[in-house]
Amino acid sequence: MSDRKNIDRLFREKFRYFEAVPDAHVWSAIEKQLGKGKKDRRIFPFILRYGGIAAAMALLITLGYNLNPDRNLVDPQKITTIDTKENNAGNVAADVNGNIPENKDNAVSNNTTYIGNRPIPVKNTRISGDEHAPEKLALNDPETHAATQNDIAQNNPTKENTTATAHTPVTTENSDAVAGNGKSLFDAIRENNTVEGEAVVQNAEDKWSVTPNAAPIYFNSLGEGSPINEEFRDNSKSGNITLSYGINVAYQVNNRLSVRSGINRVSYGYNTNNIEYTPAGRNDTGDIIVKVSDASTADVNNPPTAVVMDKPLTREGKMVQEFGYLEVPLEVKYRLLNKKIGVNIIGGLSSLFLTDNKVSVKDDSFNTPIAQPQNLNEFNLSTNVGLGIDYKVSNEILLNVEPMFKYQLNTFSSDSGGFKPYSLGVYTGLSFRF
Amino acid sequence: MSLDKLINGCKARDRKAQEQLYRLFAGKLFSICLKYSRNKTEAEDNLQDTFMTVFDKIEQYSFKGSFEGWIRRITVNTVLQKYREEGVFDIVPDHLQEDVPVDMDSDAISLDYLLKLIQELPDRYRLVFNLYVLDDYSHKEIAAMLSISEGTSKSNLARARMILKDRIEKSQLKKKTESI
Repeated sequence: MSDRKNIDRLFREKFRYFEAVPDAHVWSAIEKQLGKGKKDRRIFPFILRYGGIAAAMALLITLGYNLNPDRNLVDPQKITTIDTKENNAGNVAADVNGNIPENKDNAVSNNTTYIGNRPIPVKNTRISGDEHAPEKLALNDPETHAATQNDIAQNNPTKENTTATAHTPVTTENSDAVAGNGKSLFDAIRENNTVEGEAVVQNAEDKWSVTPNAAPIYFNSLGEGSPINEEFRDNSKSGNITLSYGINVAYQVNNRLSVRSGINRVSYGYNTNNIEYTPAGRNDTGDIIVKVSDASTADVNNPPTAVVMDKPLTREGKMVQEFGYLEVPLEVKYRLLNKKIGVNIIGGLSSLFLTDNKVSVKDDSFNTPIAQPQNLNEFNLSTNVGLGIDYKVSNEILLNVEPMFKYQLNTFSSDSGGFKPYSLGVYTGLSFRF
Repeated sequence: MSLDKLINGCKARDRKAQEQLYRLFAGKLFSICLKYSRNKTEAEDNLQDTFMTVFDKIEQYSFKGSFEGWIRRITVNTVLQKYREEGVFDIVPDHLQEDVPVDMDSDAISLDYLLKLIQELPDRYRLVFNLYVLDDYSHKEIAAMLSISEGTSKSNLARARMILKDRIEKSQLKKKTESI
């Protein structure tokens, strides 16, 4: 039987799915040629990338107040969704003449996390000059495909006879034999990428971002004790809310991980309640004196009279310690959810440099500063843990809200009797990516 | 590992990623090399050159456009470059011919045989035939790639078709007589 066919069409059809596997020595030659002088460049970015991630992960793990140590950081759902979507094992039936229907994208994408699936036509593993061997295969030519691998390293195409029905059952480790479902491999991979989130494809330039931020901070202690004096150990302490403000710079290590540092100006305050205080000046004989004058007539010409106090004047109130630091945080941020609203977990350390410190006594009427206690260390450290929620305003701008728990390690120089300070802050800021 | 990760691995010159990329694309690219080369050995050389170029140039690939398209173009260009250096692209004037029908039993023609026919074509005819018929370039593009005129491209294609048709029909005839 002969049919008139154009040369072009003949060749086009026959070559449509032509693939041929080269002999092993080809890769060996390539490898050898690659081996010359490329080792250094390979190792350095490797170290940079994986060392950075290892350090960041170690940081997260060593924090005592980790949010959820068992959290599974990788969302496996996305992978399985694609699996089930691609699982249509359709067999392409060839018609009588051994021609398959015009389906250009008759390629494979069964499991897109393994890109090793690809069609390998049955007959093209041996290119020989011998006409007879190919003829034999031609009789069985079904021009259908078989997915033969789910592991890239396995590169052996299966060469086998096809059955009369032009189905090609292939035993592979991947139990689905796929012959095409109208999608090429790379369309599926591209789809995979977009499902994982918009931030997956990221320009090399957009790795830095700057975030000015501000936060209300609540400071308190986890334990009893007083850093001012032991006498006050049992007094109740209450925290004050103060303000922190600053600027952060972040570097995006990969799609999910970023590292950041910055500078914040932060002040803390807490109260020691239920205290009494009295003025304690004494005269030569040891009596407490106060200077009294008639409020309506007091002037230069009428100096106040010194009188002895009968009993000490005490006031009740609270003692307020306020101190401020310059904070330099070093934190790692891991993105859990990556959509328009993102969720992150944050961990890290801050270095704190003391900038001011004062204690005062306060009651309803007035606020009396008293001598600066020497109990604060100039340099302090805190371990930080928090959750971050951000909203993508535009490609370059993110709105962040990050509640953070910061536990201070080295605030007080003297034994504070169990006073363990921490701060809770809700850091809000606007990130600018560039 | 996803393709993007592989590509990034190759950008970082990671040998494992390079090998996996090779295994993934070698089949497709080798078939291109076979079509365009004179024989298997030459095809292997071309494949090797192709991958060296790919691994070298992959840092320029910025994930815009299809990766497969990108490496296919590199493959074709690598082969053409080889021929350019050999001075294959000399002017061969000829008369024009349309696509020709060929009398044959297409079932009995195997791909291996057709590949052999292609490889045995004169270089320039083979290149033009592949580029036009199998890889869907236009005569205009071919003319630019091979530094020839469009007319030359068309006539080369016509010639290639003629030769292929002759050989196929002769072999069919041969078979028919043999089977008697």
